[in-house]
Amino acid sequence: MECYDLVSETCEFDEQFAKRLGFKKIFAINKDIKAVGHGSESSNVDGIAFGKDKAQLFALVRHGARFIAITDSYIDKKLMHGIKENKTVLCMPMSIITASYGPERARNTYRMKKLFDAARKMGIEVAFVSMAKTKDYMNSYMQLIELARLVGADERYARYSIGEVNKKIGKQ
Amino acid sequence: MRDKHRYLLVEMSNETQLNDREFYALLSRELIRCIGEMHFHKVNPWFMKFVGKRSFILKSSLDGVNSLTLALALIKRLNTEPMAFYTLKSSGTIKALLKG
Repeated sequence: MECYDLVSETCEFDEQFAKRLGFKKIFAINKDIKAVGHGSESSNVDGIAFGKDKAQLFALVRHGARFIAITDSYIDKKLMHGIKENKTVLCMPMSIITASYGPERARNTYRMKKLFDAARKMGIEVAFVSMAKTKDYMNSYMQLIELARLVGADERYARYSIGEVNKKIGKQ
Repeated sequence: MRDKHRYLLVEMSNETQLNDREFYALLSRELIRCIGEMHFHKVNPWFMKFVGKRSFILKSSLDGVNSLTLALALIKRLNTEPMAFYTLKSSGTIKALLKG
């Protein structure tokens, strides 16, 4: 099984490290996929949109963002319907869980679990990515599968997501 | 009946100056924090040996491998130093684990 991951543009790593972690390739934001944000709504955007502002995320989804990450994991019905209609892939950044601690981590896990359940019930495709800002928050493919299981995915879907869905990140 | 077990090859983000005993004492404290005291005995982790300066082998019960892998992903510091753990492989024997 070929596995893929996505990290922030600030994360520095080498190819050997990516191979050791079990990934065929680790994509980086703004290197392999363009980050689209405020001001991109007017044109047709092709990339990843992330943030907390649901109205802005909705506008970006409508203008063709291929991937979306809701960084506070709150469910917004209008945005979720927009994601479904535009066949956008919902990214679940696992660094939200690994970078927090104690009660905050428990809260983040609960919210991500709810978001994942809502997305799967609506038939939205979900990509489990680390989206790590530094090397310390990267995960091996084994760990990424377990983190996906923590938020409610079964092992089969977790493997499909890390393999097939994450592979689409690199396709322009 | 003898319990089935698995060995995990784990890489650390930084090198450590600690010896086996000190290292495992700190690591198990963090593991208990993540897994929980009640579940820790099911995982039954055991430190085997260091492999090079930045990798080591952990032994775990077969049923606890998933919990141990997850716990290692959640640990981001050891004592007071920032430290990340990456589970690279799992296998039934140390020989197979170190192969390739």
